[in-house]
Amino acid sequence: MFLVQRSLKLIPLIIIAMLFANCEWGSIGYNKGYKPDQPIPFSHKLHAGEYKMACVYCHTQVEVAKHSAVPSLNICMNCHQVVGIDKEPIKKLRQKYFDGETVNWVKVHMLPDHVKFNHKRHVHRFSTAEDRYPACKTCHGEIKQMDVVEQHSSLSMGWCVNCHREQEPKGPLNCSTCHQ
Amino acid sequence: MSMEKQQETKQNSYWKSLDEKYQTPEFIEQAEKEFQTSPLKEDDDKSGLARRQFMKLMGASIALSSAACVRRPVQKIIPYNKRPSEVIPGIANYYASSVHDGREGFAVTVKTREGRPLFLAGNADYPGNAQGLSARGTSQLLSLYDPDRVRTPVINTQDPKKRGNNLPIPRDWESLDKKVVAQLAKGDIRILTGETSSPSLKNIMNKFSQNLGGQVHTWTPVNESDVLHAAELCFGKSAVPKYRYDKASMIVSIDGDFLGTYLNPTESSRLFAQNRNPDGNMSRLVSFQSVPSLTSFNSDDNWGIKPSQQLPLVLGLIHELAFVQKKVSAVGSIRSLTADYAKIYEDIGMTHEQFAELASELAQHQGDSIVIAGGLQTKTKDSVSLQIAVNYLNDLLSNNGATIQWSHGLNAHESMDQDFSDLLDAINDGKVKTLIINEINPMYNLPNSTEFKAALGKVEMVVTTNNWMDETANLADLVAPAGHAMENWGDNEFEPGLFTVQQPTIQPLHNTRSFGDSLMVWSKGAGKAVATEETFYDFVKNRWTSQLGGEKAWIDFLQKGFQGQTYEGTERSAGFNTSALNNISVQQTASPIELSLYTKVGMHDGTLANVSWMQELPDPVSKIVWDNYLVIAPSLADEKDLRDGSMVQVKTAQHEMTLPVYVSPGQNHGSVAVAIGYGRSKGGEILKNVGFNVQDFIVTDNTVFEHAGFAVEINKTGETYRLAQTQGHHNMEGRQLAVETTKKEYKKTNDIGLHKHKIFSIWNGHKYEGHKWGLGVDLNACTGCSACMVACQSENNIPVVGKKYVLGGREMHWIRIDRYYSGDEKKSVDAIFQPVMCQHCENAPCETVCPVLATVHSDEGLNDMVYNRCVGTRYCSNNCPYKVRRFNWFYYDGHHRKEPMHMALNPDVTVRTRGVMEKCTFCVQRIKEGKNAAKDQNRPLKDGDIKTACQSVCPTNAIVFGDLNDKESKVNKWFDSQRNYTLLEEFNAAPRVRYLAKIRNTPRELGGGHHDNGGHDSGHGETDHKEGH
Repeated sequence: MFLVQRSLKLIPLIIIAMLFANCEWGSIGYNKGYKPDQPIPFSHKLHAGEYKMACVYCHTQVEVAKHSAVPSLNICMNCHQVVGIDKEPIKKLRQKYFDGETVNWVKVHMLPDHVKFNHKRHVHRFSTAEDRYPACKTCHGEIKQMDVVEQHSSLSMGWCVNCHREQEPKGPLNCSTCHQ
Repeated sequence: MSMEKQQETKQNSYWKSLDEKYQTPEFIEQAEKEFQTSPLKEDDDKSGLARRQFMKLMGASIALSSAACVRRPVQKIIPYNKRPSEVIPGIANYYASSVHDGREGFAVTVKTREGRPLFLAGNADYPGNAQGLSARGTSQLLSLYDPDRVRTPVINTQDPKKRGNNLPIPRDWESLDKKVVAQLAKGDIRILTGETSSPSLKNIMNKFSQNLGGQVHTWTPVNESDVLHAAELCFGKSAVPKYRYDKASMIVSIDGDFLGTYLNPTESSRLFAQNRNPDGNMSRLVSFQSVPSLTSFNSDDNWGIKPSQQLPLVLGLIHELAFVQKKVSAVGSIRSLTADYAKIYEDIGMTHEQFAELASELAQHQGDSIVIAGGLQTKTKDSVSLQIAVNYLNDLLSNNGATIQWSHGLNAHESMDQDFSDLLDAINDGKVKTLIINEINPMYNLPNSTEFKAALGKVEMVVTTNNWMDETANLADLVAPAGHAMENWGDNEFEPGLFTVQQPTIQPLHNTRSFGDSLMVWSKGAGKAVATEETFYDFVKNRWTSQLGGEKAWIDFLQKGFQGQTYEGTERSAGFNTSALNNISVQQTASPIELSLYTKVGMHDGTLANVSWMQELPDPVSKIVWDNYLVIAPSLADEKDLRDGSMVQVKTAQHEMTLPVYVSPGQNHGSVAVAIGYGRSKGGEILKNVGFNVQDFIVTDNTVFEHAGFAVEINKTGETYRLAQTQGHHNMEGRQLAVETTKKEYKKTNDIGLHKHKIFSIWNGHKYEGHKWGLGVDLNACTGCSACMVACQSENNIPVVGKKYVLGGREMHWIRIDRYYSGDEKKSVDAIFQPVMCQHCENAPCETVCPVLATVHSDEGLNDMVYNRCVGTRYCSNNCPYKVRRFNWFYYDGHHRKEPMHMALNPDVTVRTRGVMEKCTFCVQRIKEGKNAAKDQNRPLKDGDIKTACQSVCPTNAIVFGDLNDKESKVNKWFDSQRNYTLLEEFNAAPRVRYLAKIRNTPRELGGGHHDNGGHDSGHGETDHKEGH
C-alpha cells in the first residue's frame, strides 16, 4: 500500500518529464523555434531577402519607438496596388484592405507584460542608418532567409542579460532597465 | 530638562489620531501588529481557495503551462488598416484641452497613447491653474471610462404623472429626436443647465430658447448665490471675484475654504503658495472655521466657531477696526449694529489682545489683505448679510480692486438658487411643457421638501443629457446622453477674457452626442435652426476662426490650448454702495449645537460618486474613505460619550436621521457638520450604499438655499458603524517625523530646531557615476490637496480596494499624505500634511531582507521593485520603517477591470497581480522616457526634463524631482536648504527623499516640541546630512 501511494506521487513528475522530452533542454517555456502559420503566408525571404527591401521600409517606426510594429495595410498596398494582384494571398490582403479591415497576424516574439523592451535603443546601438539589418539579425536571426518567421532566440532574461554584460559598451543591468 | 522628562512631555506633542495621542489600549494593540489583518483568517476571496489548496493547484498548473514548445495562449497582432500619421504605437501624443471638475475649470494637457487618453495634467503655460490639477480634475479620466455610463439614447416608458417606475429602453437617435421635435412645437420650453462657461454653448442655448420660445435657467447644487446677491447690492453688478492671494500679506478666512473646496481651490493654492516663501515674503493666514478644512489646517492661527458666529465676527472686526482702534473710517450708521458684537471674541475663546492684534494686523495691511467667507458652511439664514459685511470690511481695508478683483473675477459661477426657484414656480404654474435638464442631478441634490419630483409630474416631457441613469435620468422621459467632456468639442472661458479650447482626445466611446449638437439637431428639426453649421464642432470652429482671424490662428489655439491673459493690473476701486449695509440683519440665532453641511475635496456635490478614485481618496482632513459622517468636537464627544463610529440621531426642524460620528480635533464644541455628495441611490455600481444622503437637511425656502446653522439635537443610539480611515493605525513612538517651526524662530536661528543624530554606518555606500535621483517635498508649500495621490494612481495603474479592505489596512496608494496634529484638541489644533512615498533609501532595509532579490538597488539610486520576482513574503514591508510598501491581496489587475475601464491603464507600467509587493518607483517609466528623449536629441539630460506624476499636477510645486549629481539641479538646492531633513534620520536608512520643514507665520509658540528624543541614546553630534558615497 505504501509503495503504491509513493509511486502515485511520482506520476506528475513522469508526466512533466514526458512533456518536456520533445523540447530543447534549457528553453522550456521560452518558445525558441516557435513558427506559427500566419493568416497570409507573407515571406520575409522573398521581400527582404530576394527583393532586398530594407527592414525599415515596412517596420517604419522601429527607429523611433519602442515597438517595431507590424506595418499597417496601406504599406503593403504601396506595391500591391499593382504587384501580384492575381495571387490568392494577395487577393485576400487587398480584400481586407478595401473592406477597411485588417489582418490578425499571429504574434511570434512575445515578451511578458512585465518586460519592457525598447527597439529604438537597440536598433541605434547595433546598426547604422544605411543598413538596419545587422541590428535586427542580432536577436531575430537571419530573417532574410526565413519563409515563415520563427523565434530565433530564447528571449529569456538570461539571454538578454548576457548580452548586456558582454557587449561593449555594456548595457545597463538594473532591474528597472526592463521591468517597470 | 533631563532626557527622560523631555521625552515624557514631548512624546505625543504631534499625533495622527486622538487614540495615538492618548495611547489607548486598542491603539497599542493595533499598532503592535505589523499587518492589520492576517491572511490566514481571510475567508472572503471569491475564488474560495484556501492557501494549501492553492499551492496544490499551482503545482499542477505549472506543470501544464510551461511544458511543450507550443505557445498558449496564441496572441494576435492587429495592425491598422491605414495608420493615422500622428499615431505611432508606443509614442504618446499630448493634446491641449480643458476640463471642469464640477468646482473649478482647468486647462489641461491630455496624454494619449494609440488614441486613448491616459493621464491629465495642468497646462503649464496657462496662466490660471498652470500645471496644477485637482484630484477631481485628474479623475475625469476614470469618469470617461466609467462602465456605468449611459451608452445609447434612452426612452423611459412611464406615465409622466407618476414618474418613477420606468423601464429604460435603449433607442437610436432618430427615434428620440422625432419625439423631442414633435414636443418642441408646443413651446413653453425651459433649459435647466449646470454651470457652463462655454461661450459657444451659451450662444446656442440662448438662440435655442429665443427661436423656440423658452428660457435658460442655470443652477448647480453648490453655488455662490450669496456672493452674487451681495455683489449686486454692494457694487451694482453680480459677480464672483477672483482673490489674489499672491498679492496678499494678511488673509483672514471665515469658513472660506479657498484651499480646499471654495471657488477655485487649485489656482488659489498656487497663488497662495507664491507668497509663502519662508526665506522671502510670507503671508499670514488666520482661519475661523465651523468645520476643520484644508484652509484651517494650513493656517498660521485658527479658531473654531459656530455658523451663527460668522456674521457677528465680521461685524465685531469692523467695530474693532473702525470704532475702537479707529484705523479706518466706517459710516456711522453701522455703529449701532456692530456695537452689539464688539465682544464677539469672548464667544469664540479669544482674548481681547488677540482680537485687537488681529484687527491691527489687518489695518497694517490695507490694500494687501483679504477677508474671505463663503462655501456651504456659510450658507446660513444670514449668508447674504455675511457677504455684504465681508465686502464692506474689505472695502474699509481698500482690498476691493487691489487683492480682490471684482471686474476681473471668475466665470462659471453664475448659477443662483433664485433661478431654480423661478423655474420651480413656473412649472407649478403650468407654464412649462418641456424641460431639458443638462448634466445636473437635482433629484439627488435637492431635499425631498422641495417637491421637485411632484413638479416634474406637471411637465409633459422631461429630457436630460445626463451620462448616468442617475436619480434624475430615471425620472426623465428621454435620456439624450451628452457624452464626456473629453469626447466632445467645446470652448471655455473660466476667467473673463481667458479662453480655453476643449478638444476631444478620443472618439465617443458610446452612442452619445454633445448637448450643443443635440440642440442644433432639435432646433433644425423644428424648422428654427440655431446655426447654419452641421455640427457643434463646425460651429465652435467657425466662431473661433472668424474671431481669431483665420484657420491658422485656430490651429494655434488648438496647439496652445488657450487664448488671452489673466488680469495683472490694479482695478479701480469697485465703489462700495453703502446703502447695501441696510440689508445686513442678524437673523441667525445661536443654538447650543448647530449643524452645517459642507463639501469634501473628493466628493464635492456627488457628481463623481461613481468614480472609485474619488471614493477611495482619503479626505484630507479626516483621512476617512468611502463615507460621510457627522464631524463633532472632542469635547462634545466626551459630553455625549461618543467615539469615532458611534451612531447618533441627528434632528433638525426639517429632517431627522442617524449618522456615525467622527471626532475631529479643532472642531468647535457647538458646531457639527456632515458632508453632502454621499448616499446616492442610482447611477452606477460604485456609488451604491456609500455613505448617507443628507440632502434633506437643506432648506430651500429662502432666496439662498440654507445649508448651515441649523439648530440640532444629537442623541446617542448605542449602535456603532465602522469608518474606514487610512491613517491612524501606525504608532509614531514619539519620533520627530513632521517638523515645523515658527517664522520668528526660523529667522532668528536660521534653523528648524531639528534634533541631530550622530550616525555611523557599517555599509560602504554606493557609487553613482551617472545619475543619482532624488526627490524633495516642501512641507511649507504642501496644502494636502491630495491631487498627487490621484495622479499617482492614474499613472501607475494602482487599484482601488474598497471600504472593506481599507478597514483591513490594505489600501494600495503608493503615495499617502500623513496628517499630523499638534496642540490641544479641545481648543484649536495645528496640522501638518506630509506626503510620504517610497523613500528610496541608500541603505534600504527592504533590500537586505528580500529572500528572492525582488527589490534591489539600481546604479542610479532607485530602489527597484521587480514584480515578477516577488513571491510575496512581505518581509520587505515588515522591515520598511516608512511603511510605504503595498501588498496586492487580490486580483485588482486588468482582466478584472470592467470594460472599458481597462483602457485607463498605462501601458508603460506593469499591471501587478495578486501576491506581489509594490511601491513608488519614482515613476521609473518617466525617468526612462526623459533619458531616451535626451539621448535621441544627443544632449545631456536637463534639470526638469523628468517630472514624476505627483510632481506634474502639484499646484504649489511642493514636490521636486531631479538628479543629485547635477550641482545646479533644483532638488540639490532644496537638499542644501536650511529646512531640509529626512524621516527617521537616526536609522541611517539614508532616504533620498528629503523634506523641507514647515514654517508657521505666527507669534505664538507652537504646540509641538522641536527637540524630541527619537528614543535613542547616542550623543548629540552634528552630522553630515548627505549620504555617504
